[in-house]
Amino acid sequence: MNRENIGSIFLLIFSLVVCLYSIRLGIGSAHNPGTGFMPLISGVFFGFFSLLQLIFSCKLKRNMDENDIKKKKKKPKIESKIILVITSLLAYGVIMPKLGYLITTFLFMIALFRIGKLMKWWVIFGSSLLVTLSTYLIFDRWLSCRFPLGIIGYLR
Amino acid sequence: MGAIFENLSSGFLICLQPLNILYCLIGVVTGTLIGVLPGIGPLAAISLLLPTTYGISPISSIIMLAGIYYGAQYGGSTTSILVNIPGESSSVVTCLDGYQMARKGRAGPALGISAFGSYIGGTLGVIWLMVLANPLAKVALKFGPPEYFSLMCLSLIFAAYLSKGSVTKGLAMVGVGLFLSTIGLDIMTGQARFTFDIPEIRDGIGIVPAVMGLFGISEVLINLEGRLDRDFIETQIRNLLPTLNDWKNSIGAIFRGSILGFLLGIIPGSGAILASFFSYSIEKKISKYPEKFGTGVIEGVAGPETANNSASSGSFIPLLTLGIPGNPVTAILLAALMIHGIQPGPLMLHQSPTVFWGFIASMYLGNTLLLLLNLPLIGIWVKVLRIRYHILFPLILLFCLIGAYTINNSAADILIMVLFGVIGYIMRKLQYEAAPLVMAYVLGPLMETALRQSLVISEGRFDIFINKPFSAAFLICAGLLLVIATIPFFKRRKLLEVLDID
Repeated sequence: MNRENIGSIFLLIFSLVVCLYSIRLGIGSAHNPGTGFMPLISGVFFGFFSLLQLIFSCKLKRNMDENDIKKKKKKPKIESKIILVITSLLAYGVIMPKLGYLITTFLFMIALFRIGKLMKWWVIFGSSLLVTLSTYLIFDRWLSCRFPLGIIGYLR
Repeated sequence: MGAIFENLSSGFLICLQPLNILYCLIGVVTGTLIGVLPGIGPLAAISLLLPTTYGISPISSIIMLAGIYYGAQYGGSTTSILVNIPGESSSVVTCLDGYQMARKGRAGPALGISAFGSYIGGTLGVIWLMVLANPLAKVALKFGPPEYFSLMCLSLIFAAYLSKGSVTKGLAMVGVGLFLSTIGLDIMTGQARFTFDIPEIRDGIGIVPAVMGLFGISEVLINLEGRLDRDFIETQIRNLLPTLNDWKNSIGAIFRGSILGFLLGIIPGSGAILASFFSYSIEKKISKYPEKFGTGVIEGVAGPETANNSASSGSFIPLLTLGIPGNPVTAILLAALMIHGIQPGPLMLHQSPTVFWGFIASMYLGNTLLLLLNLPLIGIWVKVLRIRYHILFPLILLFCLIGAYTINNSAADILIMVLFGVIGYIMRKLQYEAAPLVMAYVLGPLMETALRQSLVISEGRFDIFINKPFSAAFLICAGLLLVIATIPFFKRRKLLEVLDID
């Protein structure tokens, strides 16, 4: 099964879940549409078009020669860099309220600059510190966006 | 006409206040920077800066955010011409001749004509916007819920039809966007929908973290897959002012691009990308030497660059007169205006004239600032282009994180943004476009209200949408587009073939 079909099938199943849940919410009547009315319409809408997409891509597959199919079947390779970046972003969201903006951002920048792999350690440390302090000064001090202090707040 | 000038002068009095000039300057410079940098578009930039505008006046905030939008159209051409990578999707077509001009050592005139064309297109677009806004707002006052619902249907189908790749995928994304807009409390009954007792999404999923994830984070993830360094043409950028011959060749393309861009910009769902492609196609068709297009012809830069700027002015027409955003960027601007307590639409001219006319005047100011700044500062933009991506991407990600957090000072928004970033990344891998989803997400609540109000008015009769002439016309157009869209032979790719664009 190629990636195209996986996407369409996922959307199709998702639309079924949305439709069933919408009916449970109550679709009301045409005189008085209920809470589930609009979600049901949207679920039917994207379900219909993902089904259509599935049919189109199956038809297209039939018309393709073997080489094309082999190319399409190539397993998608997700680079380790991307997984590391996503993990860093998620970790930032979880850790930042506890550790505070300054420490979390400093660690986050070190991690991301390190993923780039092209800088020496002292440059990474220096750049991360500079970025952390300058964004803190601009956003927290100047633009009054209040960042959590975290550990630094407890130490005060 | 006299009233227009009177209102415009009052608008200038507002926008020429020192603080507003500063915000306009910040907006256009940020926009140009965003346009120059591949990997972060005006949508993500506006979303990022939106929380910082909460503390300033509505007019200053809209002046700055709109400046980012049209500034990005200016900046997008620089990367197209010098690196052959469009900074913005609307500058894709500029690569064809702009890059070839740079390879021949004519980067200066290409950048120059692109800046002048953008200025003329942007300014003419604002003049037409100013003239047309009032009559269109009067027509829009006659619209009731059925007309609004049908018009929104048309604009969403248009957005899907013009999205990259398969139209059926675009339409599926419209459906997903509409579904996402229903998450949270039902505006009519107060009942929770799809919240699964998660307090953070009781009021719905925030548009800003969702957009930053779909456009900002996913763009970075996609860029990380490829080479992190770009090929840069080593050419001396001189003679930025086009010669008399360059002007003679470009002036027609600039005026045609202005008109075409504005008209296409008005159509909700189309916008700057289509305008630039259409302009290029027309210039090629009417040229005495069509075979030379793609080898470094100045008309191939002047026309599309003028058209995309004119279209960005035109796209404010549906937003300001109907309250319906024409593209995802104006959708975010709609959200920004609503946060500041301003409801764009036919009544905006009467309820918030200072904001309306101040905003129009600021567009003249912004376009002039862009012309004055861009040509002398081209050296700086070229240096910005040389910044390596492995330095740039951590900064882009950090700004996205800060932007998401500062909306509600909540880490939950960061997690929502990352989730949408991953969804956006998968969507790009599977060639699903995010723009129709965002449009549907913003229009969803308005559509639902209009649909439910229409059904209540008609006592449950769906023929209310056909009995009203405007509504019927919109639905017929939407239906036709939908039929064409579902026939695979008429996919957008075919449209591009008709336009003779590879």
